[in-house]
Amino acid sequence: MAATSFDVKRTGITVSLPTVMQSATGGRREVELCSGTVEQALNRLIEAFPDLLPRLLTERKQIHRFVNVYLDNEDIRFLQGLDTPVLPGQQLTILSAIAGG
Amino acid sequence: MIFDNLERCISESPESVLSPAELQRYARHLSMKEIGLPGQRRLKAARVLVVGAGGLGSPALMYLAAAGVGTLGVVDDDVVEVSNLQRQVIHGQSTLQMAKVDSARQRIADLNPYTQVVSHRTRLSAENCRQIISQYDLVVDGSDNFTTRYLVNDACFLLHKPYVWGSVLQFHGQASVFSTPGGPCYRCLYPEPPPPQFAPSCEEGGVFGAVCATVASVQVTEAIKLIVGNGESLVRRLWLYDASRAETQTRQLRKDPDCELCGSNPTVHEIAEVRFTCSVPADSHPPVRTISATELASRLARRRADEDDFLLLDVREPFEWEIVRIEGAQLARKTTLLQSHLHLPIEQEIIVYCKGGARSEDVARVLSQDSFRVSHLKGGVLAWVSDVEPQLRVY
Repeated sequence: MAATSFDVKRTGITVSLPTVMQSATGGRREVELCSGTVEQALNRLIEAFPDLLPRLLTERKQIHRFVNVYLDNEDIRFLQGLDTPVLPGQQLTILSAIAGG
Repeated sequence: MIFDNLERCISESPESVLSPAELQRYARHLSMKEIGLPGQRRLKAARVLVVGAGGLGSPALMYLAAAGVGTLGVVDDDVVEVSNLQRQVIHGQSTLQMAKVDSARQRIADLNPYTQVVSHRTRLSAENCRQIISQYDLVVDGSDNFTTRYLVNDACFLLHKPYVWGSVLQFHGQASVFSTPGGPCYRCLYPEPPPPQFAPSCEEGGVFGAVCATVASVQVTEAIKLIVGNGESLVRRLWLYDASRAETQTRQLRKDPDCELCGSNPTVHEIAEVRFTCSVPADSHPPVRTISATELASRLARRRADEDDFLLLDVREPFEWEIVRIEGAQLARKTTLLQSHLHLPIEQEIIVYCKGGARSEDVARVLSQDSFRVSHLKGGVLAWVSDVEPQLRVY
């Protein structure tokens, strides 16, 4: 499915979602959002798709330890975590652990 | 070089000398400068353990054997079933119901008689993990559950064995190499496993057969690169594959200084089964009522005698219904049912079931939130076949 723009286009960021979360986004695997911090991006994502909340965040609003968020090539845990700024044109990749074999 | 011990094996052991027949067999490798005679001898001296002879393990075992790995360990406690054959290419119609380790051994013997196969017909556990893994130089993980993956990771780190990891779901694959000296481990990538409801297995979520071959092929390539000491390894990189888009990507993978296993202040010192400790918002999963297969069988008998009244709904897909179903049920696919359940009679008790219990639990949760009297069959139709009608098909 093509990236779906429901927020600011061109100046936006792309968020790609793992297979296991796509049931919470009606099958969408890429979403465009406006730039900001990782936390703002995740909050906007959850606002649009509330079922993502328990899959992404703990009760303390931290990213689950079985979920990784990459800003382009780098894991945000090794940047500034949720406070990491996401600039227009950058990509957030959300990964969730899978164990199939 | 990671495998100094292999160098010793080669120089000290005449067994890694290649016979003319072996030279003929491996000619295509021998003419590659990246492998050549030294690399092929290292492969012969290598002892590789493949965990799981399933979707990933099947092609991995075949390519490792074909490549000339001298000793291949296979650990699996399962038997070959028809529904495995869509992707588990080492097995076949003629080995149905055979132990997977035996079926794999049979196929490997045909593929490369110079490869010795060591069968471990067991499930890896905290108790046997160290003893099994310590016999090998390297581990290729084709297991299908988080418990085994964390066990293998922890054992590989503690025993200093490189851990070639791969996993698949539907059209998606991931792979990397962990537990090399100074490199990250699996816990650096995913410190905790997800709770079961957020991590569908291939059995539940499905897997595209050829994706297994792609991911396993990457794992075998990485294993061979480590053994022959050539190429740029996936160590410190995460390989991602989306077959539906024909896209591959890599991401940087760092060693986590706070890793509980390999960080600067480790808290994991022994091999133990990992626990699901992560917290999921409590209100997202209220408990739902369950019914056992035997209880359902007696209630169905009473219903036939007009002594009980309930609606039995099968929430699986039509193809699953065609394979096996419980007599007296009605097919009501999960997706359809969740869109139209408000039309169900609110006064009637409802029992739902699926294959293993996950989908029916979801349905029961939604229905109970909308005030229906509902329970779901614990263990799904698989439990029904196991406990009530063992002559029926499973998949």
